[in-house]
Amino acid sequence: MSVTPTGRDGEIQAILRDSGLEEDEDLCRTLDELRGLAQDVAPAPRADLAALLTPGVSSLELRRQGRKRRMGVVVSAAVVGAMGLGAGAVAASGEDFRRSVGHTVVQFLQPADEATAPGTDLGGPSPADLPTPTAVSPTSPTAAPSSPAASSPAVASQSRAPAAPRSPETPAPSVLPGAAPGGKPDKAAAVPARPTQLPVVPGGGIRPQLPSKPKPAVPTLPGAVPAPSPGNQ
Amino acid sequence: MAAQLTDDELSAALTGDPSGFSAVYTTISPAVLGYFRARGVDDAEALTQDVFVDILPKLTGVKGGRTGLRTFIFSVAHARLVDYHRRSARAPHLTEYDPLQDERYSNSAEDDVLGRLGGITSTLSMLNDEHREVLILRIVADLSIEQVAGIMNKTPGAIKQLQRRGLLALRELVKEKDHAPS
Repeated sequence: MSVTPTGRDGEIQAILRDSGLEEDEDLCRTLDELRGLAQDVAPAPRADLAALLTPGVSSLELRRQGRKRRMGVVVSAAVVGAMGLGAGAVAASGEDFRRSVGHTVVQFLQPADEATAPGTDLGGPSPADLPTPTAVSPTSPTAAPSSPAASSPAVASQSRAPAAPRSPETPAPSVLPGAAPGGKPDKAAAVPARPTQLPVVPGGGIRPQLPSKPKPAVPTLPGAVPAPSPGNQ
Repeated sequence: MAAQLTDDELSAALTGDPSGFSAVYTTISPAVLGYFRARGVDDAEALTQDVFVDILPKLTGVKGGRTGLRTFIFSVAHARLVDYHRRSARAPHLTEYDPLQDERYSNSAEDDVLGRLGGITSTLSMLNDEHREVLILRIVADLSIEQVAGIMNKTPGAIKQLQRRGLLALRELVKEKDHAPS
């Protein structure tokens, strides 16, 4: 009846005997059926197990780890060596490389030097701004621009806009000495006409720029105004 | 038919020689597969191969000859089974559509006959977990009382008690099944 060998039947009988159930035929048949679950054929090994069962392969993971470590060391050494050789060859090839590197370094450092010396920068733009206030004081060369300024008030207001803040602080000392030697009533009348135009300029929306320029203009105006005044006198 | 390991194959496997791995797998994997099937594992073949992928590189440290090798393999299989049950307890339970559970249909005569013939796994599933584990390790894995005690971390006396109670419970289930109206 049983397919299993007699030895295995004897083992089942021994198990039943230990528990005092050796005469139970139904239980013996059930245990035979249970033992039949282990009589199957070995399942076909999948890829990793088949690789492990092949002769010469004792472990899969150890080889993978060893290969990865070796490859990482070799690649990193090759990269570092190639970078060192390349940098050394380029530096030794000629002076152009060094000059270009030095030039770029100087270009980077120059703006920093200019930024560290603000006094020189502030003195530069102040003479450029001065012509607008000096356009009033000199008589012949800058009188012409004053007349087109009168013809186009909008342009004049824009051009004089940067000078507007200086006039409330400095114009009284600067213009008055220039107008006094000239002795002409027209220029003296033109001086009071400026404050009438200047309030219009801040209303035009240039007010945010005004606080930035008055500070450099304060020291430069007294230096620029006395120069023409001795020449005129 | 369960083949036995020869002495040469056993010594080769226990010394880490890969030529013995194939013999170990061919000889013991059917029992491991039956152990997992008896415990109701869904993919018993995959779990069996997981066990052998795990144990084959570690056979060099095994002592005790055939008995020690079998104990070692089924210790790993038992641990894998515990992990499987823990994993499946956390995972959502998925069931396929079973026509036999559909009450809108009546069973055919073939289904009745097949249900009476087979079903050892379903009968075992009605046992207590420890009773079932002891009986499967004793009969399917062909392990002794001492080996089962080592795997389940119990004393041999406790294993004997569990075996006796499991056999009594199994006998009651078989009687109920035989006397149940078909």
